[in-house]
Amino acid sequence: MVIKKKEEMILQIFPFKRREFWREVANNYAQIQEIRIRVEQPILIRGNGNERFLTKEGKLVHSYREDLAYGSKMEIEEIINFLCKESIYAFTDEIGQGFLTVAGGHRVGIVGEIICNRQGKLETMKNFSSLNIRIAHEILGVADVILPYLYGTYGLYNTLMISPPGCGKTTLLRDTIRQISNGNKHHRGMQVGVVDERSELGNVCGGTPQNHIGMRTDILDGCQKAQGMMLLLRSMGPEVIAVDELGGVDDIKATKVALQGGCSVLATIHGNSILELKQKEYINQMIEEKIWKRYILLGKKNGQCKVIEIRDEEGELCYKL
Amino acid sequence: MLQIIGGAFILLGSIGIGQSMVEEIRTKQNTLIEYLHFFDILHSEISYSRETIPDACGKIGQKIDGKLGEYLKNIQVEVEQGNSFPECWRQQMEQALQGIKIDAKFKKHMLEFPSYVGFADSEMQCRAVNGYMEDISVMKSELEDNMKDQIKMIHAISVSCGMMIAIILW
Repeated sequence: MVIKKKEEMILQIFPFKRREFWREVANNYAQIQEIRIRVEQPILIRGNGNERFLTKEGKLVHSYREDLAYGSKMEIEEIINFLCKESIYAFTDEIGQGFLTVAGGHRVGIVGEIICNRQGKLETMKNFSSLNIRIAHEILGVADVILPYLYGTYGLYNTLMISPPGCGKTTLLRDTIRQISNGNKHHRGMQVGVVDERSELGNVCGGTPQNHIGMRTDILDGCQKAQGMMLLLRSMGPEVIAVDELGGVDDIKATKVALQGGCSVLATIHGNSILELKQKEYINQMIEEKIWKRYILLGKKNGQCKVIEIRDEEGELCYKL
Repeated sequence: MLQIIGGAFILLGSIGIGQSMVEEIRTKQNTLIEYLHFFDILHSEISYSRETIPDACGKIGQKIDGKLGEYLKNIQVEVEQGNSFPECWRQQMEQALQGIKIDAKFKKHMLEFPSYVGFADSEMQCRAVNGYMEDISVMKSELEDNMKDQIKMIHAISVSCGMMIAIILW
């Protein structure tokens, strides 16, 4: 496995000629969650609960100044063209979904002028106006706190990780996958199948995962969750299937099929609480049927992303921060 | 006896010069075939697997033997390192076409290829590549139309020149 330095990975988001400008940002990657570039607006760097600006020399500053670096249409287009390797046609689906995933698992959110097809369905974008570069942070060992609660007599519990955006659910899921796959002091290693729809978990580049996802993990990259779960079930015989960001009804149906196939499911979902999830009909049904045996709730405490609580299928508290 | 041997050498020498000129024409033809082949595979890489152009160059480079293959692989490597595709293409193609006696028009056309990439639609990109293939095909057919006659003429002139010089020096 080729694992490049984190700083290098961040610099690789930007064209070669602009890398010196971005060097200080890359060097501070540990404190950075987002880089926001908007046309004719100051470049903003967010992370650790605060917001910083970038000067024309590429220095990070805390307050507004005259010499701040501003985003430009040209810069945004250069970054997108660079990330697409001058081959935007190869990324129309991703651009249509509003983001590109780049080496290192970082996600570049894009907005601009929408192009729809004749049926009025969003097809792609042009005249890009903003970029939101979300820096992925792979933290080994972050799942240590939840592992003791994930195993029962028959193996891994079906587990749902609930988190608002930006609270580290993908990071937690990735490390949980790694530890379940490799084995840990609570259980032997298990065969894990991962459907990585947005290439954020494994960050597979040219067939090689760039993140640590474990020795018994098979990863299906860039595939829709529902289709991917079926494919993994048929082809790889996983003991655990892991997916990030359950969303639509199809995902839920596929999850149920996976459960019938004898797999445990490990998934994440956007949300603030179990109560909030109950308002979504298709999720509520699963909650009522007690399909999920563990709910892991993530949130921020003192500006830091933490596992706030762990509950069982009855809603009983197993762990609280 | 020495005069006969000398005459024979002069004749062989002039035939050799003629043959090298014929080889140049064949090299031109092979270069055009090679580039045509490249654009043909590039077209299918774009339309079938929606590969990016630098990655497609790298893949094709592995399939094509010789100098062109090496330069194509270099393009992918340099783009991976963060250089822009137009710069890498121009740099590598200039080197690939160096020393090949081929029309300046073809060289210019090849170096301009990056101006024809960047389409948001794969069909448009394929059309641009098709346009390139058609241009090269026209150049190739023009070359091949005259090639047989040119080769015959070069052979005839080289033999007759050799004979004439041998006769003059007899």
